Amino acid sequence: MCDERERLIGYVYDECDGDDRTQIDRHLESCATCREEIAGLQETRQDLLAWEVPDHGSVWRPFVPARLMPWWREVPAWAMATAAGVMFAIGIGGGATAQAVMASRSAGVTTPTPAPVSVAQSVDQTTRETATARAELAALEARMVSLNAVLNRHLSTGDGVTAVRVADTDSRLTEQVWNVSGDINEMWRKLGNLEAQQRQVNFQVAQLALLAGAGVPGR
Amino acid sequence: MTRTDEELVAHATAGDHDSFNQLVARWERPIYALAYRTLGREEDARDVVQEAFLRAYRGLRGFKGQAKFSSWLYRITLNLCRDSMRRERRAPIVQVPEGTDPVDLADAQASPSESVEDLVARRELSHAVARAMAELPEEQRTAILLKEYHGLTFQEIADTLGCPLSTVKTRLYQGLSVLRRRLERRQAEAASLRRATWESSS
Repeated sequence: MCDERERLIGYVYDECDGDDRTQIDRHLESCATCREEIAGLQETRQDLLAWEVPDHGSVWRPFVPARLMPWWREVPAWAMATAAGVMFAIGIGGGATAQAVMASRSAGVTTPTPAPVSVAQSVDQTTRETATARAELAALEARMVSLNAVLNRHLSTGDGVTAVRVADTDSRLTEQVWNVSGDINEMWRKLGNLEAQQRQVNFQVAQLALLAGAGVPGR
Repeated sequence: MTRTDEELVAHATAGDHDSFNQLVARWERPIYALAYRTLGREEDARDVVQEAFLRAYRGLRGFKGQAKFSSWLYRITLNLCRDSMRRERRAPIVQVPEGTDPVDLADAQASPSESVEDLVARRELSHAVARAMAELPEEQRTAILLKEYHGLTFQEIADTLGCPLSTVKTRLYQGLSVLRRRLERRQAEAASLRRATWESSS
C-alpha cells in the first residue's frame, strides 16, 4: 500500500469501493507514514477552501420577450398620476440643487493639462470604437424588438394567444430572434472589452498628467 | 418546481430564451469561479465566461445530451482558458488581494464575530493557495479545481478532460502532494517572519 499511494486518493475523497476502504483502513492501523500522509492531504484540502473568488456582475444580457400589451396599460391610472407627481417634485428639487452647486463651483474651475499627442490619439480611437460598438448594440436591440413584435403578432393571430409561446409555429422567426439575441451578447462582450480598454487608457492619461505636473520629462 | 438542466436545455433548444437565461443564472457563478481560478484575473475570467455562454448558446442545438450540460460547459470554459493563456503567452497570474486597509477589511469580514486577525490570516491563506495553485502544472491544477471546487467525481473529471480515470487520480495525488509541501513551507516562513517581527519589536 505504501508503494501505491495513489490508491489513497480514492480514500481521501471517499470514492473507493467497500473492499478497498476496508483494506486501506486495515493498513492504516499499522502504518504511521500513510496515516500521516492522509492527514496531510486532508489538511491541504481544508486549506484550499480558503481561496476566495471575488463577486462579479452578470455576464449575460438576457432576452426577455416583449409583452403584447404595453406595460403602462396594466398600471392603474391613479398610480401613474402619483408617480408622475413624485417625478415632477424630484425634478424640481434636483434642478434647484444642481444650479446651486454649479454656481458655487464655477469660480474654482481649472483647465486640465493636455495629454501627449500619441496618448490623445489612443484615447480618440478607443472612444470612437466604443461609440461604434454602442451604436451597433443599439441597432441590434432595435432589430430584436421589431423581430420580436413580428413573432408576437404571428403567434397571437387567430386564437387570441397573448403570451409568447416559442417552440411552436414559425421556426424561422424563432431562429432569427435566437440568433440576434446571440449577436447582442457578442456585441455586449465587445463593448465590455472596449470599455475596459478605455478605462486603462484613461488611467494612463491620468498618470501621464501627474508626471507632467511633477516635471518628469516624457516622450 | 425547479427544472433540471436537461429540461431547460430541451426547452432552450426549441427557442425558449427564458430556459437559457435560467441555465446562465444557475451556472454563471461556478463557471466564473473556474475561469477566475484558472486564469487568476477578473477581467480575463469575465471575458472567458461571456464567450463560454455565447458558445453554449450558439451550439446548444448541436448538444445532443451525450454528456451532462455542466460537463459540456466546463469543457468549453477550460478550452477557452487554455486559448486565453496561449494567446497571452503566460502562466496563470495571481491577482494581489485587496490590501490591509481597515475599511476594506471591515467590509470583507465574514461575520461580526470574525476578528481582524482571523480575517487577515484568511486572506493570507487565500493568497498562498492561489500562488501555490498557479505554480502547479496545468493538468494537475485543472483536476484539483474540478474536484475541490466543483465536486465532480473522478469519472466526471475523466470525461470532461478526456483522459483515463487512473490519470485523474494520479494528477490529483501529485497535485495535492505538491500543494501540501508548498503550503507547509509558506506557513513555516510566515511563522518565522512573525517571530522575527515580534522579537525585533520587543
